[in-house]
Amino acid sequence: MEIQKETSTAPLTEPSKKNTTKYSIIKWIIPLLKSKTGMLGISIVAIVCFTAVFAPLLAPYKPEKVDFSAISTPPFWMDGGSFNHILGTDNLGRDLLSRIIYGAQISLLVGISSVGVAGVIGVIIGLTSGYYGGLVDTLLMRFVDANIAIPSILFALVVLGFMSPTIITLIIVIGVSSWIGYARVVRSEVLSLKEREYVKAAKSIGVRNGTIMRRHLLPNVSSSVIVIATTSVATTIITEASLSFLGLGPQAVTWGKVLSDGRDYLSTSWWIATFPGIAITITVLGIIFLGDYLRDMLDPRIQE
Amino acid sequence: MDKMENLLQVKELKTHFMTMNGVVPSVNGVTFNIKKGEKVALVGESGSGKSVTSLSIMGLIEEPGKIVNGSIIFDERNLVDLREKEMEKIRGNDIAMIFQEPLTSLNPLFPVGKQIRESLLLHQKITRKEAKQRAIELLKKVGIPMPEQVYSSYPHSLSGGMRQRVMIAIALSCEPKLIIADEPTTALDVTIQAQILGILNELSELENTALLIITHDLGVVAEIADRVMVMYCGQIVEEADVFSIFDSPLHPYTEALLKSTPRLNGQEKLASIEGRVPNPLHMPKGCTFHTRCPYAIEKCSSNVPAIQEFRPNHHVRCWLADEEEGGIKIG
Amino acid sequence: MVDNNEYVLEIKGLKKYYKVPNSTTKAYLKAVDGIDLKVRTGETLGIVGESGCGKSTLGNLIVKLIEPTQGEIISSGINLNELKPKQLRNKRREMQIIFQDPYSSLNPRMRIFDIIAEPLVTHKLARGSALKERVLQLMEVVGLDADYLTRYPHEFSGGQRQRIGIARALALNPKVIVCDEPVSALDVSIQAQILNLLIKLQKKFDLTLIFIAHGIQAVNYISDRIAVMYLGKIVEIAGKEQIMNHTKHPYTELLLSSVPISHPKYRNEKVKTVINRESPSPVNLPSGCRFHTRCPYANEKCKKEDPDLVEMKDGHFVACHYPIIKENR
Repeated sequence: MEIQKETSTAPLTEPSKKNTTKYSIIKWIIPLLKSKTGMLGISIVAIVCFTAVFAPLLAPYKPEKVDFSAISTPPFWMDGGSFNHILGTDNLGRDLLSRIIYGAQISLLVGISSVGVAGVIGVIIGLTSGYYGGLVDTLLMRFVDANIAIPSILFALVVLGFMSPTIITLIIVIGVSSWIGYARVVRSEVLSLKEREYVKAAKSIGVRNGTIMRRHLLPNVSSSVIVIATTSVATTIITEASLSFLGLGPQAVTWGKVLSDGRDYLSTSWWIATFPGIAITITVLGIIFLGDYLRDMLDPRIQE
Repeated sequence: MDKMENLLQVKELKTHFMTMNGVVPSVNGVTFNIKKGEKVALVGESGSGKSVTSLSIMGLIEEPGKIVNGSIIFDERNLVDLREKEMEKIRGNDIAMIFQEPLTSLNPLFPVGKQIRESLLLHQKITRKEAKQRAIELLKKVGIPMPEQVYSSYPHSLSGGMRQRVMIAIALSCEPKLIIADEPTTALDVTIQAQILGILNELSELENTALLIITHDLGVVAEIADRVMVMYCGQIVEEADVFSIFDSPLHPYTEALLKSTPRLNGQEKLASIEGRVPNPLHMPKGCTFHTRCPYAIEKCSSNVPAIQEFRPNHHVRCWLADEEEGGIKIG
Repeated sequence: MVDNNEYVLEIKGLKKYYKVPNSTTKAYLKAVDGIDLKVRTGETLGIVGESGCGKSTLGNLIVKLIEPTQGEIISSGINLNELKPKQLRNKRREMQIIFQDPYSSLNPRMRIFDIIAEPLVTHKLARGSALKERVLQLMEVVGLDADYLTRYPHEFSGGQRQRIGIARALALNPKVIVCDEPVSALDVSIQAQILNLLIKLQKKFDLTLIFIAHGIQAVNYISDRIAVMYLGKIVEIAGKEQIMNHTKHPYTELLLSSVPISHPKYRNEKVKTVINRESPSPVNLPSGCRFHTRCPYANEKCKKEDPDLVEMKDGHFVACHYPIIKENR
C-alpha cells in the first residue's frame, strides 16, 4: 500500500472576504501593540510633542520669570522644597519645570527642522550621485568623504563662532553638517534600485531622468530616509544641547541652555543640570525606540 | 507490499505556518512512502507545499512554521519526535539534501575540497589523507574533470553546474540512504541540467540510494522518476508510477499540467490552466482545485474529496474518480 | 537594399563589451560580440541560448537601454545611433520591452492605473477620462479585471504582474516588443497563459516580437524563426522547422538533445549528446570557433579559424566549418 485511504480532511478555513487594503491601518497597529519598545517610544515621543505644543498651558510659570525670593529652591521632596516649584528653581529663581517644558519647544523645533534641512540636501545629493553615477558620483562622493573628516560639532563651533547664534542659524548649521548619512544611504539604495526592471521599463518608455528619480526612486528610498531621520532627531537634540552647553546656542530656553546654566552649581544645586539632562535622555531614548520600530515596520519583507 | 522495504513513511503530515494574517496550511495532510532505492518525484507549482514537505522531513521547519500533525517514520524512527541533536545525526548520515542554489549552501571561505573532506571526517572514521583521497574520488564520481584542481578551488570560482556537482559530492560523502533534491536543476542551464540529472540518476542506481526529487518541471520527472506525486495546495492530488501519470493522468490538475508544458515535437496550442493558485489564507471550500477545474461539478465546491486508489497503485483525490459519480470522465 | 516594409529592424556588427573591473590587464567581457540580424515585420523571432550568451544584453541594446560599444541598429530605416535625445524619446514608442522578473518590473509604490498610464502620460497621449478609458481598455486586452485599477503590485500573482507589464508595453502602440525571458519566472500553468496571450496580442496588433528565452521549448512554441546564440554570437538562425528538423550547428544539436524528454517512454530512445564541459567564460573566449571546446566534431581548423555566419540555403544561416548534414531526423 502506497497511500492509506484517508477520510476527508477537516474543513478548511472559511474564505474570508476581508479587503486587505482597508485593513492596512490595523496591520500597523497590531504589531505596534505587540512591540513593547515601539509602544514605549511612541508614548514618550507623543508626550514630548504634546508638552511642546501646549507648553503655555502646561507650564506653571513663564520660563524667564525671575523670582529672587526663591533662588535655588530644591525639588519638592527635599528639605526646603515646595509644591510651588515641583522640580525646584535655578540660581535666578526661575521654575525648572517650566523651563524644561518650554525648552521642549525649541529643542524639538531645532531637532526636526535641522533634520529636514539635512534630509533634503542628503537625499538630493544621494539620488543624483547614485542615479547618474560616473563623474558626478565620483565628485560628490569625494566631497562626502572629505566632509566625514570634519567632525560636525567642530564645523558647527567654527560657524557659530562667527555668526550670531540664532535659532535659524543653528538649524542651518546642524542641518548642513549632518546630511552625509542620508546621502550615503540614499546613494547605495539607488545604486541597486536603478537596476530594477521597473526603472528600466520607465527608461524604455521614455520617462525623463528627473521624473524617474522623483517617481520611481524617491518613494522607494523613503522608508530608509524616515528611519535615519527619526534617529537623527535624537542626535540633533544632543548636538543642540552640546552647543548650548558650550555657550554657542541661541538666546532662547532650550534643554541644552538650561543644562548649561546649571553646570556651575552642580555641587550646590545638582537639580538644575540634572532634570534637563534627564529630559534629554528620555526623549532621545524614546525617539530611538520609535526609530527601531519604524525600521522593522518599513522593511517590506516584514510588511508582507 | 513488504513493509520492511519502506525507507520513509510520511503519514498525515501537516505543517502550518502561523503568520500575522492567519494560519497558512502549507502542508495539509500528506501521506506517502518511499522504498529503498526508489526515485520519487514530488511535483507542484510554487505554493503547493512541496518544498515545505521536504523541509519537514529534514526537520528544518523554523518559526513561525510548525509540524502540527502526523508522523515521519524513517528507519523505524519517528523524525517528528526526535530532538535536534538526534536529528542532526540523521541529517548528516542518513538523509542528505541538495538545494536549488548551491552557492548559498557552500561556505564561500573554504575550498570546496576541504568542505567535502570535513563532511567525510565527520561521518567516517578515516584519516585526513584518506579523506582527501575519498573527496577527490567523489569529485570524479560526479563527473568533474580535473578533480584535483577543483578540490582546492573556492565556490565562487566554479560555475553553477560545478557547484551543484560539488553539492552532490558532499551529499554522497555520508553515503545517505535518501537524498532529497529540491529543484536541483532549476537554476542551471539546459545543457548542464541534462548532465546533473544524468549523474543523479546514475548514482542513485549505483548506490541504491533513494531519491526524492522536488520539481515543478515535468521534463525532469520524465527523465528520472519511478513514481510521481502531484501536489496542489498542500495536498497530494495524484500519485502513481511515472508511466501512468504521463499516459493516463486521472486528476484534472495533472492533466492540465501535462497539456500546458511546451514540448519540442510541436503541439498546436498550449492548454493553459486559467486562474491562479488560491490564497493559502483563503482556501476555497471543497476541492482546492475546483476554482480552476474545467470539469468541476457541484459536489466539488462543497465537499473535500478523499484520496483513493482508483486503479491498482494509482491514487487520486477527485470527486470525478468517485464511483458514485460514475468513475473518471477524463484522461 | 533596405526595404522598410520587409525589415522592421536591422542590426549590423553590434558589439557590447564591458570592462572587467579590478583587472590589471585590459580584460573585456564580450557580452555581445558582433551580431548581424534582420528582423522581419510582423514575425516572432526567438532568441535562445544559455546564461551568459548575451541574449539579454542584445535585448537591452535593441530597446536602447544600454549603448552599444560598436555597431548599428536601424529601425524602419532610421539609425538609432544618430538620433538626438528628443528624437530617441519619440522613437522609443515604437519599441518596448517586457521583463523577466514580474516582481522587480513593477514599482511597488505605484497603483496599477499609474503603472499602465505612465507611458501615456509621459508622451502626453491622453488625459483625464480618456486616459482612464485607455488604461481600462489595455487591461481588458491583457485579461485583467477592471477592479484592479487602484490596487498595488504586491497584491498580484506573478502571472498577473506579467500581464500588467504587457499592458504597459502595449500602451504606446509599439511596432516591436522585446520579450526578455517573460515566462521563465512563472509557474508552468501560468507560462502557457502568458505565451498564449502574447500570441494573441501579436496577431491582434500586428506586432513584431523578439522573444528571448533560455528554454528552447517555449521559443519553439511561439516563434516563426529562431536564432541560437552562443557566447555573444549567433551560431545558427533559420525558420523554426529548419532549426528543429534540419539542425546544422552542433551547439543547436546539443541544446535540443539536452531538453528533458516529454514522456518517460523516450528514456532509452533518446540519443544523448552528453558533453561534460561547461561553457567557457565570455571574458576568456576560446580561439577560433568559440564552441570548439565543447564540440564533439571539432578539429584543428576549428581551433584556429572563427567561422562566419553564412547562408546554407534559403534563410538558413549557420556559423560552423562543418555543419551537420542530415537528410531527415
